[in-house]
Amino acid sequence: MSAKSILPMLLRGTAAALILAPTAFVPAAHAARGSDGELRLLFNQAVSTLNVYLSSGTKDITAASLVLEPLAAYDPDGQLVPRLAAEIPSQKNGGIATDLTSITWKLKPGVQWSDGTPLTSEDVKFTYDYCRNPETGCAHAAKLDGVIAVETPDPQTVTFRFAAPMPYPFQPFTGATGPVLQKAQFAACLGKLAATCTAQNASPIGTGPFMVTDFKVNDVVTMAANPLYREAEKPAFATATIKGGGDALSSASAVLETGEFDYAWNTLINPEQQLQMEAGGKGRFVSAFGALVERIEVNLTDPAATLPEGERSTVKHPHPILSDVRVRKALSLAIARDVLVEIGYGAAGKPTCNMVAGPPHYVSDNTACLHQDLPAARALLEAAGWQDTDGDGIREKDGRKLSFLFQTTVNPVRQDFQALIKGWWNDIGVEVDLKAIDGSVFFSGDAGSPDTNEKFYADFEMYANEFDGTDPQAYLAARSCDKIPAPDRQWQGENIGRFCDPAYDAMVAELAKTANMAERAQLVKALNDRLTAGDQVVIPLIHRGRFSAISNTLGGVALSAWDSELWNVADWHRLPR
Amino acid sequence: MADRIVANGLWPRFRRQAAAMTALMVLALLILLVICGPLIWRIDPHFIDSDPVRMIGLRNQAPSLAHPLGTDQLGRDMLARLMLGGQVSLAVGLVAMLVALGIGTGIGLLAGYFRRLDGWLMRLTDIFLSLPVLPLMLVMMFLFRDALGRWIGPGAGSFALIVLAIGLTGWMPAARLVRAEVLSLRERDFIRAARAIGAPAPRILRHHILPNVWAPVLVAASLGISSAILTESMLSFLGFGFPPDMPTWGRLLHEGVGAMRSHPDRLVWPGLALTLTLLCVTYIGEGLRRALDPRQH
Repeated sequence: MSAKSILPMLLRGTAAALILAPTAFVPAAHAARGSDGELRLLFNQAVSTLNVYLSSGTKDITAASLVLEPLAAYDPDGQLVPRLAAEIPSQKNGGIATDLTSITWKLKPGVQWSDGTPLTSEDVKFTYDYCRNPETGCAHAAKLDGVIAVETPDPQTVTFRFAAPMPYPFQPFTGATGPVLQKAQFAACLGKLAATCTAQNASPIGTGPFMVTDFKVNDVVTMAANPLYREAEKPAFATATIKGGGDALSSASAVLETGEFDYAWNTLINPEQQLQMEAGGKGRFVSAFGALVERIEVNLTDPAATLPEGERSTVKHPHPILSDVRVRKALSLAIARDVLVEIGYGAAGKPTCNMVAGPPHYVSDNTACLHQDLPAARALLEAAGWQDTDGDGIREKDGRKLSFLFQTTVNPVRQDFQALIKGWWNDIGVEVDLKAIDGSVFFSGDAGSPDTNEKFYADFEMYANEFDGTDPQAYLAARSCDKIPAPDRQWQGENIGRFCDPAYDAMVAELAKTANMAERAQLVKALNDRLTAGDQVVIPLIHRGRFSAISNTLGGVALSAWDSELWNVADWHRLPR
Repeated sequence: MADRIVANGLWPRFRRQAAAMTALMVLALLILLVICGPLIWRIDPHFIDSDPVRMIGLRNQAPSLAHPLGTDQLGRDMLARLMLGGQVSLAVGLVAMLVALGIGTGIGLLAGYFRRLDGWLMRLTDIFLSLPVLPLMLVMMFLFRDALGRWIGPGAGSFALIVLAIGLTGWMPAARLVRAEVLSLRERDFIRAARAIGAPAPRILRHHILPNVWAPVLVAASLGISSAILTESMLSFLGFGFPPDMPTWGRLLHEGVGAMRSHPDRLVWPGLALTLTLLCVTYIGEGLRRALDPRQH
């Protein structure tokens, strides 16, 4: 049997969950508000605040999304869906200025806070001032970057003015990290006072489908359906409870094996455990794929320890072996990405050849690397002049052995990947030394440490990265020449692989000027293809997703990786038995 | 001479202790197994089938004739990995013990014999004893791993560094034991006689004192092995030990923790080997102590 025929068979169990999921998208006929009883949610990290602006923890942001709402949310495809806004602004409907320096949102008419007062544009402006105040310590101030003024011409209209043309102007007040706070409740909590407003932060008044009834910090949040929620008959549940604590495995078990809970957040466990849990029969796993890509960065500069300190891994010395694109392509071809997924992630990952793996409209149809091809990889190395002349199984050229150092962080899945990839690379005549670095050192950015991912004193390193929000412009711009980490800038910079090509930089500059979505998508795909299939300056491996467990009795769930997982909780309902 | 009397009586006295003798035999068997085992059981402990279909078929196998201890999550033979891991762990234990013992005996001899050095050396010992060992070792690993790896290759570099780190942070008990012994010896008549006829200090130390302190040294040695193996496990567990594809017993344990629920045997075998070794070494140490203790006879 070939690899192609057996792998789908092995994956079938997990794939079934993915096939079932789309049927849940169809909204079922709703019963009356609150007729479905209690919604029991389990978070393996307990919720510590419900004020999104004072926490960068995903658990807090996710929990708060039941209560607080942004102007627009992101659906599973990364597309904007109006929440408090009446419609998504565009140049066509006049919401976005032709010179791209402002965006105007119209609020939905008649929206009320759960205390009965009306929502107005003043609340949006207040929330902006709240987060922009440097003494507030706002965790999501970066979303407001570039905004110079907020105007409220009438109670239903709010306009954001930008310092410079913004080809993607949807950052402020979209998604779970940009909800609107009630001015009346938080007016006394500006600046330094933000953290002292314990009562407000623990139970913010919102416009969402639920309102907080009780909050035990770092333990349980209890909520009740918001009687003033703008959509009739929603939410279907009368109450919602978010219990915190445990770990990924035990929380998955509580949903899938014992059925004590309806939903468990963030249950990333290994594929074997996934199968065991699903055998419990009480529920299934659901995944949502965002932008997170596990990749191998290729060092295009020479990390040799023989070079003087300060010149290692700098553009002064191009890599003696990896500067040849044929070697890079051969190494990528030798990897069986589907096996890596099967071993490390199961339904929580997909093989990918792309750096930009989502949202769907930005994803290139580049799939050439998905099938491992060892003969082709060997042929590429032969063509590049690497031959095993002394019969030791390792190729040489000009007296130099084809030998690499491959580093990553200490993590059982990554160590398995290292061993597998080393095996495949050995198979095509490449010698590999492995190294594992503690994650807190690797990601520390400490210029004094030789083991950071920026310093890159190795030939390859494996880790995962993604971009914030749904727009990959900054993420792709990180590969430009001026972002290469170097000693004269304290080894800061996001261009880890030290790729430098003026043609690429020119395309990035063009992307920054393009507002038309179709043209942007074209450019993003072209840039992605340059990095991957074209020059293979990075070796993408796996598109990793969010992974949660839901009960079979729950309907309407559509996990979004671009927003809070619970972004559409108003549509959730109990399925008839 | 005193040392000959002790040496002559040692083995018969040691042999009379059933527990210590059993421990010695079990340890010998373990050492034989990890050294000679791989010569008979010739599966490569690093072997991963490069064919994805076969590799996936080989994963997580239960014990069978082809794989007596089953296979791990990547289809590698557990028995072969356990034996290779044993070689590394036992080698680290022995060599680190020798390093610690060398330093400890040296310092103990000097401190015990030379009054002028005693205060300084014992304060140094106190300082080392009060240092938090684990952070110190982590810093050593962090600072010197690359430099040593550059000299003698990453594998040998890690070995040298781990052994040195464990040795440099584990010599203090031996130094105190030896010093105490030397302090009592240096006032004995045969040492005073040697001094009286003008024997130089190095000669007295080498020919008269050292042979008489090896009783406590032997006991310290046996205890040192077990603490060295444990420390290596701890470093591997934290990811600071050998390169990630080197299966020491500590790393096998580390890998086994993730699969504890589905494959408890992954944790049991390396854990058992480690426990058995430590138990044997401790019993042998205890046996030696008793055999050397004149009050027991």
